[in-house]
Amino acid sequence: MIELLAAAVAWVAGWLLVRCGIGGCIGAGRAARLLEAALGAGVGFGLTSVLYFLLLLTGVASRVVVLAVELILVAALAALLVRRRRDKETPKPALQPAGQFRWTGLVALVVAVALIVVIPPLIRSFLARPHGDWDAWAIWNLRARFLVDPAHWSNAVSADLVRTHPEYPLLLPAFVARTWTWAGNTSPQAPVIAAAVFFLAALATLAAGVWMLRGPVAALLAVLLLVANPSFLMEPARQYADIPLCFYMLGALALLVLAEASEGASRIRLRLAAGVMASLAAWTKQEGIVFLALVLAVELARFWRGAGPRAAWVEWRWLLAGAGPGLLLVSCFTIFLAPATGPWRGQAVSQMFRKIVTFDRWDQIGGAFLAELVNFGSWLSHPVVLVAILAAGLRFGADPRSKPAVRSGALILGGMLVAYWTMYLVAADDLNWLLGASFGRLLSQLWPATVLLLFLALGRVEDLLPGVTVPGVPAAPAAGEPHRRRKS
Amino acid sequence: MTRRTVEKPPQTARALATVFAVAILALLGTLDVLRLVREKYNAEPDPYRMNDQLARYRDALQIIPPGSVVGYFSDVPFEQVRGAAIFFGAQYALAPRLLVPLTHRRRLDYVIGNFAETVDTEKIPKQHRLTLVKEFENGVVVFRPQGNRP
Repeated sequence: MIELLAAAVAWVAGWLLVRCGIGGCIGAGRAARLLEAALGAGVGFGLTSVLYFLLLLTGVASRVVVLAVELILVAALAALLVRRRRDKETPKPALQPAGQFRWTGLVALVVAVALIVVIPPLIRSFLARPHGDWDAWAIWNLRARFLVDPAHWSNAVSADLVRTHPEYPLLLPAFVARTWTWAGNTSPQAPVIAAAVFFLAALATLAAGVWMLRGPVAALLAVLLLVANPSFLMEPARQYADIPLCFYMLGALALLVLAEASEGASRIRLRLAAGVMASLAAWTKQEGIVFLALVLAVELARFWRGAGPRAAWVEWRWLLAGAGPGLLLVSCFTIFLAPATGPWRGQAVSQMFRKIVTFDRWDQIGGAFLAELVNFGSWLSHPVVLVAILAAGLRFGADPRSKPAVRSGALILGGMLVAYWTMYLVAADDLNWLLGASFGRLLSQLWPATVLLLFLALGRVEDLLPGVTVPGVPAAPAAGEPHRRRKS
Repeated sequence: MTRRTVEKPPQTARALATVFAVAILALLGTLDVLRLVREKYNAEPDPYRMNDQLARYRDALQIIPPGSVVGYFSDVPFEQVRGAAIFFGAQYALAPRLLVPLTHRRRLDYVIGNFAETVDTEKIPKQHRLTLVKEFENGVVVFRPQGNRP
C-alpha cells in the first residue's frame, strides 16, 4: 500500500506544479481539470524520478532524505498555488468549441461499456506477470533494482551489463526505485502502479485534449480508438517504457496545439509546459531524445518560416526554456554516465552507409511495417477501418487556430517514423529479430499522439448538425457566451 | 469589414452513422482484447517463471554482498532463449550485484553456477579455477575465484 501512497505523493506534486504552471491557461471546465490531473501524473512521476536521480548523484538518496525532499516540495508547491489563488488570477475561458450532439450520453455509455470490457483483462495481465515481460526484468525493472541501492546504483550504467541497455535514460527505473525507497522493499507493485498510471494518464490526456479542442463527442471517439486496439492495450502490462514515452509525446503535442490556440501569457506557459513534457520524453527512452530534437527543430522551422528569425526566437525560446533542464540532464547523462552503446554500436560509418543502400534491408523493413500495420488491430475494428469511416463521415477540417500546430505535430510524428526506419537500416543487431521484437511497440508509442492529431484534423461531429455555421467564419460564440442552438 | 456567417445544410444522418459505426466497431474491437489476453495469459501466465527465479537465488543473496561483481555460468547456453531468460532472471534477482559471463575479463568477486542438470561440484571448480562456497538444492552453486579476493 505504501507504493500507492508514494505514487499519490508524486502525482500531487505533479498536479500542483501543473496547476501553478498552466492552471487558468486552459480554461476551468471539466476537460481542463482532467487534463491537469493527467499531466500532473506524468509530470509528478518525471519530477520525482529526476529528483531521486539527482539525490543518487549527490550521494544522499537515503529513505529519509527522499521522503523529506518530496514532502517539502509538495508543501512548497501547495503554498505557491494558494498564493496564486489569493492573487485571484482570472481563468481563461474554455477553448472548447460550441455545439451539442444530442447522443453524447449514448456514446459515453458505449465508452463506459468498452472500459468495463477491457479493464478486467488488463488487471488480469498485470496479475499474471507481476514482473512484466522480458524487457521489464531484463532492462527497466532491472535497472530500478540497481538504482534502489544508493551505494551501488552506478551498476545501472555499467558497460559490463550484458545484452541490456545501460545507455537508456532513467525516468522509469528511477521512478520505480524511488517508490521502492519509499516502501523499503522491491515489490512488483511499484512498476505495476507506474505502468497502470501512465496508461490511464495517456487515456485521460487524449480525452481531455480532444475534448478541449474538438468537443466531448470527438474525445469519446478518440478514447474508443485507443481501447479498441488490442496491440496498444497489451503494452501496459509489459511494464516497458513505451507507454510512459507515448504519454509524454502525447502531452507535449497536446500542449503545443493548446498553446497555438491561446494568446499572451497563456501561450508562453503552455509552450514552456510542452517543452517540459518533451524533455521528460527524452529522459524516458532514446526515441524520446529524437522526439525532443524533432519538436525543437520543427517548431523553430515553423516560427522562422512564418515570421522570420527574430520573431521565431521570441516564440521558440519558451519551448526551449521548458525543455532546457531536461535536455541538460539527458545530455549530461549521455555524455558522462551512459556507456557508448546503441543500435549502431561497433560499426564504421562506411558499414552503416552500405546498409542504408542495401535494398534487401528496405524490403525487410517495409514488409515488417506492413505486417505490423495489418496486425495493429483486428479487421472490422482495425484502426485503418475506423479512421477511414471517420474521414469519410466527418471529412477533414481542422480549427484554423490550431491548424499550424497540428501540421507541426504531423511532421514530428512523420519524423519519428523516419528515425525508426533509419535506426532499423543501420542497426547492428540481426534485423529480423530486431523488427520482430520492437516494431509493434514503436507503432504503439505513436498511436495516441496520432489519434490526437487525427481528431484535431477532422471536422467536428457537431458541425454536421443543424444550426452550425461554416468553419472559418465566426461560428463559435464569443468567449464565455453560451452557445445558442437553432431548433430544427 | 463585415464577416458573413454561412449556414450549412444539416447532415444529421451522416453524423449519426459515422459516430455509431465507429462506436460499435470499436466496441467489437474491445472483445478482441479479451480474446488476446485469454490466449496469452491462460496458455502461459508466466513463461519465464520470474517469481520462481527470484526465489531460487534468495539464499545465495545472503552470501554474496551487494555491489559484488559476480561471474555467471550455466549448462543452458545464453544463445538459447531459455538460457538468456535464466541469465536475465539471475541478473534481476541478484541486482545490485553485477552479473557478467564467467568468460568476462573483469575481476570477479564471486561466481554463480546455474544448472538445470545435476553437476559435478568437484570437476567444475578445477576446470574454472574456482573454490566451492555453497551448493544449494535448486541447482544454484556459489563459488569464489581462486586467488581473487573481494
